[in-house]
Amino acid sequence: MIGIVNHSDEEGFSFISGERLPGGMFACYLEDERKILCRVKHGEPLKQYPQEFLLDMELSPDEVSLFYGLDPRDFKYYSYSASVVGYFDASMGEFVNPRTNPASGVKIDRAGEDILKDISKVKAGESGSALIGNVLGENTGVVLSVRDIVSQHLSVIASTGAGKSYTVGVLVEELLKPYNMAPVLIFDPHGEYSSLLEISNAPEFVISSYRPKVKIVKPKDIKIRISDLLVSDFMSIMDDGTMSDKMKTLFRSAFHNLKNNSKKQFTRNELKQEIEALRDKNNDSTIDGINWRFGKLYASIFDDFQTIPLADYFKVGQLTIMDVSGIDETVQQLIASIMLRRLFDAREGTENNRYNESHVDKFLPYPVFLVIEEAHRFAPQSGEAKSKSILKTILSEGRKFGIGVCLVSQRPSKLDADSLSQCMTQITMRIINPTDQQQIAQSIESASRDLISELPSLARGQAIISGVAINTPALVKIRKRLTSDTKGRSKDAPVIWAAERKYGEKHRAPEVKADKEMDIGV
Amino acid sequence: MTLGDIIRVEDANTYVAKIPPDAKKERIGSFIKITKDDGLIVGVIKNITNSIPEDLIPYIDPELQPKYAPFNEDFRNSYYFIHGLGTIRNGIVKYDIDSPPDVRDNIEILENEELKSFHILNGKPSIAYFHPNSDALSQKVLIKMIDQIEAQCPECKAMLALVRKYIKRNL
Repeated sequence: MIGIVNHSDEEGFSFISGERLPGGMFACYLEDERKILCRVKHGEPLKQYPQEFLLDMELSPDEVSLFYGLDPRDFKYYSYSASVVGYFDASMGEFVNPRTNPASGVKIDRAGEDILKDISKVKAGESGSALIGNVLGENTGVVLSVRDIVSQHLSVIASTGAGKSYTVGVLVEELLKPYNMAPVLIFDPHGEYSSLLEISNAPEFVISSYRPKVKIVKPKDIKIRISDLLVSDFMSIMDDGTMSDKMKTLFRSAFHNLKNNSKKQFTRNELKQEIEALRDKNNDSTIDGINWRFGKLYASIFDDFQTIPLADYFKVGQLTIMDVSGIDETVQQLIASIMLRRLFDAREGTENNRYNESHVDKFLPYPVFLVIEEAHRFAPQSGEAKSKSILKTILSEGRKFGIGVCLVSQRPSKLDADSLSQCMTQITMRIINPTDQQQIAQSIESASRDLISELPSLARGQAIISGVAINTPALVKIRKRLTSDTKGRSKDAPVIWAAERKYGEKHRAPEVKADKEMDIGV
Repeated sequence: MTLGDIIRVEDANTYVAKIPPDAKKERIGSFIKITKDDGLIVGVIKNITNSIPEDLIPYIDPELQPKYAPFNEDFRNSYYFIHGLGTIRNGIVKYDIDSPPDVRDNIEILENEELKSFHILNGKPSIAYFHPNSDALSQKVLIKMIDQIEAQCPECKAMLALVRKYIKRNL
């Protein structure tokens, strides 16, 4: 027993305990021979030392209290507010709130493994499970339902250094385990997920009939096919703010002329010819201006034929890491936009029987999972991004077509609120910025709002997990990664400097010193 | 030196002692003792009152009674109100009185060594009777008690300083 109920009201109930209990911890009590799970919200000392007894740093307040006739043990009791989660109804597969609070005098116990296991919807190791960590301070695993993550999306939100890439790594490891074999793609703007390459050889992932594949696509290998671009994409590439309305109108005409000629796929030269075809004596300089700007489309990332090979990127049991580091942010958005458009088209077309095996690179007959790092770049709350519209479409309609998205961001307040609210499972780690906390509070279910106050105090690797992939929100210690985590870590600058200095002393030529005899004093 | 004798015992902790007419009066807050066969009852002078014996008032001219009676010190009777704090029996200190003194028991000033002994509980310096008696004693009395303890138990000076601050703010 850890405490006894003191009183209850519409906000929940309070209990007295002689133990220090962390906020968010699970406890339970017995009612009608059923264990009722409850969550500790906030605790404060039942009685405080007289403040004068705290003024002498040489004396312990207990010593002074005892001297004065106060029992120091009286200051070791705490009053905790708590809320009822409910009892687990196996037939419904969820916690049911009894809609009553425990009576005064009811004993409160630690929630044991027997009830904590019901926090998870699925069992660890079974098909569709993702063991993400343990209930904080307990040994009970927290297992997310992969089915719910893929169908209703997920967000991973954390300040920098709180462990969000690490957590995504854990999740991806689970998705690539033999009991899931998911097709996963990480859109990686920092190139920090390459260590996941180890998955293909780690024994935890390999069984006789399965070995996951990890494909890392380097920036130089990413190509945007010219004919995949929309007219607005062309405009955003070509227009640096100096493109006149006449230029834009003429370019649109050329583009639509080409499209109307049933040219689903075309090359830059074909488009350029179409632009030239519009030349007359009145628009000579305008066409020249368009052509000059068209030169930007000859950058190495654009190609007449090569594109993002969807079928190659999304394979069952394969992790594809699209490393877009070093690429300009607007081009990253363009790549994301084209990849998402093509993916949505492929899944929608396959589900609606428009595409079959004969449609190379468009037939995608299984759900896929997509991780978008730095999601606020691709769906910003304010401002425009090429990828925002299609990302919102996928988040709202992706469920029907089996496109699961994991939005990862360190600035939820800069992430489009509609997009964030479509992520029905949330992994939220340490967030200090109050605006970001507010944004999170608006986008998560009400039951976990009690836990929002815990956000700034979460340690690295601790998270609040809430939403549809779990039966009740929980504070979780993310499990250790099976693959190494070197890229995402902060650099230990002093150690690197010391090593560099040591290397320099050993390998570089000694510094030339002035010859005193030759020094003529100039 | 006898300060007076107990003329009334109201409860285990509250007694009234009559002061002989010519005796030098002790100050409020002074520690006193009542010696019993099995040890000492330790208390503190909580208050002093001076009153006019009613049996002398009739001898004053009725018209002058309202004028002189309240100031007539020649016929005054004085009383100590004593608050019992604890006992020392066979060298064992207890901050509790289970057997109050009797009427006619003498009260005396607590000697310095006795005061020191009274503030050692289970081998450690203590004024643990302060908290349970703080409602019954005024701030002035408590501060005066602290001053006396501090003089005899200088090792407790730091703790007494904190208690003094606490009493000044709260009581």
